[in-house]
Amino acid sequence: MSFHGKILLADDEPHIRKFLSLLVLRIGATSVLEAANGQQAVEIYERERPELVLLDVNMPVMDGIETLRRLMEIDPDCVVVMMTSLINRQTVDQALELGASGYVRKDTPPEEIVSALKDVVAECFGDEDPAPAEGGSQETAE
Amino acid sequence: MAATDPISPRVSTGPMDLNGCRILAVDDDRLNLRILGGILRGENYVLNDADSGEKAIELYPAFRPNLVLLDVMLPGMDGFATCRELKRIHGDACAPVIFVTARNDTEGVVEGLAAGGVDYLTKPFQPKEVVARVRTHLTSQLLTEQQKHLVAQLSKANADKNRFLGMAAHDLRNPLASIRGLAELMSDGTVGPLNAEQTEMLQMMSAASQSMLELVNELLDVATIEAGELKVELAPTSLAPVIEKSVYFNNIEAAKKKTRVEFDETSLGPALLLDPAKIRQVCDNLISNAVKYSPKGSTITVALHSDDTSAGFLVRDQGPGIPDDERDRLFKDFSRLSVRPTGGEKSTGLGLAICRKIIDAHHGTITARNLSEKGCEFKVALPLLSK
Repeated sequence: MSFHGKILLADDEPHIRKFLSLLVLRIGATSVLEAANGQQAVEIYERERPELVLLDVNMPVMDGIETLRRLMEIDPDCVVVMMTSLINRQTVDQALELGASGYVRKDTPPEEIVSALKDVVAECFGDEDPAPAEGGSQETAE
Repeated sequence: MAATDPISPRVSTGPMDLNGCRILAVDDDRLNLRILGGILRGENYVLNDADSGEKAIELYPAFRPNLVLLDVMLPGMDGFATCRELKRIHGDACAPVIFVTARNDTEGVVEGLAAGGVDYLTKPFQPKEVVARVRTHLTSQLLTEQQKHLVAQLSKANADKNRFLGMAAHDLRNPLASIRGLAELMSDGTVGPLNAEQTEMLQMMSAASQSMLELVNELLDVATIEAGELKVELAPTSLAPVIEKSVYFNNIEAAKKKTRVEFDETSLGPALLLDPAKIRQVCDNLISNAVKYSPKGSTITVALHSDDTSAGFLVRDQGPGIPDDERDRLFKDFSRLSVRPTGGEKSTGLGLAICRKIIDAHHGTITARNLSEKGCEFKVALPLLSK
């Protein structure tokens, strides 16, 4: 695998951050940064410029959609994957329109989350074969 | 969940209590009104009267009668017109209307029933007949109202249940996903070596939280579907890639039972109008069922099929099949069959009901049959795109 980089996880639930921080090691994370809300995520992004951001939709202080909007203003090339607990079509469409590179449902089995993240990495950083057949980053398991 | 009124059908076994029922009598002849009052005096009704159709319409909202006795021949607006107007204003909630007419004019009244009346009485009044008919119509009116009230209460209770289910399921989902994920990552050695017993315990935690997660997701799906919020976003899509992905990930779980899921398909299959995520869910469900109910080490075959009007996919297993007398229940909510999973897996009995609802929303069909050799076959057929 040739993706290497800093990954920022923004989620208000510590257990989700723990889980995801272990999971992203499998897609080549060299270090993992954690934020408990959108505000923190924006601050950390400006300071650290991580290669990939995993953003929860429902967060206190600043929600995922607003955070995404800010991140895209700071860096239009920023690679963001939205983490949702429900697939709400409207939210997903809004996020993709704002520039998110994909979305993953948090209760997707771990191996499938990894596979979806690999797809995004492959598409955005141009390496690594996506696991199963086609490589669309936007349709993760529902 | 918001506190709701207890559901009380107020079932009565004896005759209905009609005391205090409100009756509006409309007649321009004071004498007739007095006679009616006399006939109904013994019945404990509350009587009110109007001497014209216009007056009756004006009085109606404040008096809210349970029954209207309406003379056909009225000055100004006649009885039929008054009835139509009452029905127009008050719609389904309008009290039943009984027309009052002269004995020699019953033919006209029968036609007038089309204006919304339920019955008619003839003048001169036969007291016993008047009392009996008024009772009958009041009783039927009260029963209808009770029924409406009960249906409204039940729909509200059902909506509350769905909202509660949705909330509970939603809030359980993230923690469960973390428990499953963390246990899985620990058990596969991501954070360091473990002994055999620790590994086994973590695998149990992972499997237990996995089945809880499935249950919660299915409950949430049912709540969504029952609330009428199942939305499919149909777009022309090739079936094979959706199925391929499902087969790929289901093989990971199946491998734990040394079961193999095969899908030998080189074509993309025809493009069909479908919602890929929802069809993926159906495919996942059918394959995981097949894995659950098949003996360890067996093979599950997934294939595409098509004919002149439809196309779709099949899932064949080598399990015990569906008992004949249980086939009717297969696609109903909470209908678990007598056959048991072969690896101790859990089943909610909701999966196939959800599949059926998703396929219905695609205007397709989902069917099951036992194979002559062994096992059963589930077949999903979706309509072909019209050329």
